[in-house]
Amino acid sequence: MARDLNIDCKVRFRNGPEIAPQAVFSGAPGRTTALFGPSGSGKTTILRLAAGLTLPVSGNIRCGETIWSDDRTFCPVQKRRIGFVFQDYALFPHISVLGNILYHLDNKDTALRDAAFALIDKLGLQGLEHRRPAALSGGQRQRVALARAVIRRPHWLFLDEPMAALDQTTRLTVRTELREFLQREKIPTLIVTHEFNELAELADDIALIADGRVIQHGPTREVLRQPSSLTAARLLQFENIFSSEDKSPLPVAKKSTGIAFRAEFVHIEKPETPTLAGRIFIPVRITRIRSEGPLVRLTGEAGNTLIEAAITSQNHAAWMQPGHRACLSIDQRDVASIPLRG
Amino acid sequence: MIDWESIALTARLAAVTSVILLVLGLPLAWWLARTRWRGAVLVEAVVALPLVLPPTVLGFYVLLMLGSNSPLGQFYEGVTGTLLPFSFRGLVVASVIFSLPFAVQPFLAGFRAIDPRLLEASYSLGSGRFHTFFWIGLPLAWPGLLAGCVLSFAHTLGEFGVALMVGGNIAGVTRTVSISIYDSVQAMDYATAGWTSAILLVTSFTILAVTFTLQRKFVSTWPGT
Repeated sequence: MARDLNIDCKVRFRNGPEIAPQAVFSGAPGRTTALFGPSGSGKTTILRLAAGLTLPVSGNIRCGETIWSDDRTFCPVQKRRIGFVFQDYALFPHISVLGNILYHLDNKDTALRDAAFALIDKLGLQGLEHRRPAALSGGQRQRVALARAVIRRPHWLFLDEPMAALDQTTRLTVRTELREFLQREKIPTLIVTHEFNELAELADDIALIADGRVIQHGPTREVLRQPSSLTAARLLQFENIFSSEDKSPLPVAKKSTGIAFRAEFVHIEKPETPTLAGRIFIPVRITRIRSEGPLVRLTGEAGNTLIEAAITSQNHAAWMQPGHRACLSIDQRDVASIPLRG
Repeated sequence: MIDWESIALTARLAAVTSVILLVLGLPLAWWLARTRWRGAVLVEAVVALPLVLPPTVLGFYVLLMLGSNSPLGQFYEGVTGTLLPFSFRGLVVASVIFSLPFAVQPFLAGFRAIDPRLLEASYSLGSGRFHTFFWIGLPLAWPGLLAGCVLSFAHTLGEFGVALMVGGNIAGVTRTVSISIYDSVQAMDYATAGWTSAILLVTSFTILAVTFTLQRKFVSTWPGT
């Protein structure tokens, strides 16, 4: 691909862990890759390395055939032709919305002004052109920051936790809009997030980040279904993870380090339920019940291990109480077998 | 008899000093605010020295530095045929050095208060260092820039020790307001000393009050930065 982003570099901060990402992010038009990982794992640093805002101590970064950074050369952020949307958007407080969008561009250029107004229309910012950023809502600020980054037709767009500054209700609508916008604009995008819920909707690809490294990278559906390591399974919030050393309630294949499955895929039935082909049944005693929004999370004890199941509150029958016996079942295809390393 | 000549001279000196400090101090403060070089703290300490040194000590060194025995003094003499000490230009050089922290420290505070993300955002939009300095740095730091100009102006108005050491007491050339007041008191002319002091007091107070009002008014229009 012409503009694949090839990163293999290192940086270290005082008293911090070493950040050493190694990955090739797809530069296909409109393709979005999420850098997903816990806070402090180095996601933002990787994004800043890619953008040229943080200097690597060694290694190289290439965009297609263009060298952005290696031992001898460093292409500064000004010359990379990228768009960067900061977590708090970093709009210039003393400049109007239109001024922010056209910053450092020739604002007498009619083609550019037309492009700016087209973006303002597309993003629903009509009537706000002459306002200062302080007079905008969080969602509007995000859209101004996007317009400002996109009007330059950047080769890559980098978004640092674009939802973090928004409240929960705004987030849901903005997420869908953002996705549609990115696909329409056809700019490859790298987006940092620590919200598991955002992944499936926002990203075509996921790069899992732990301790400054990319530990798994692939298409979203594949990564969500098949974690490559126990750490990856934990990051992807698999509730049930059993390494081969644990006393797993389920059979663990010989050539794997363990298994993982999601609580939503676990069904809960009465103890005397007949077995079905393709499903694994595990008799348990219910130990704990927690309500979490529309979900009810049950913990079942089988031998010495605990298994988590999640059902909707509608399916929460009266007999499912702590102390009662039940039968958990899961489709074999929903159990991810985690391969041995290397 | 109020010494209007020395008042005019002092105003001229303060204005020239402020303008020079704006030109020299802005890049210096911008560099100090941005650099990651560890030695920068030493530069900062040198800039702040006039705050703690007695004016006589500072004046003494400036006199040596500008005098006809120093390379700088000889160079100046060679170029212009005149000497710097006991001249208005010499007084300007001394004032600039003496008021340096009063300009650079507020400038620096103004630049440091800018969210570094805004500068990075500017760079990411293709803007270079100069463009970013003029379009983001200066407008966002301007309360600090105003404070620096005003403080260096007001501080120069009232300086005494350095002016006496470097400028001497030549009427119309280097006699500043504070020296004139000292002369009046020495001559037991308390009425003149009182009037001149009052003019200096009221002027300084007015300048500071107007500055602080402006700062409050403008700073409050950029919330949430």
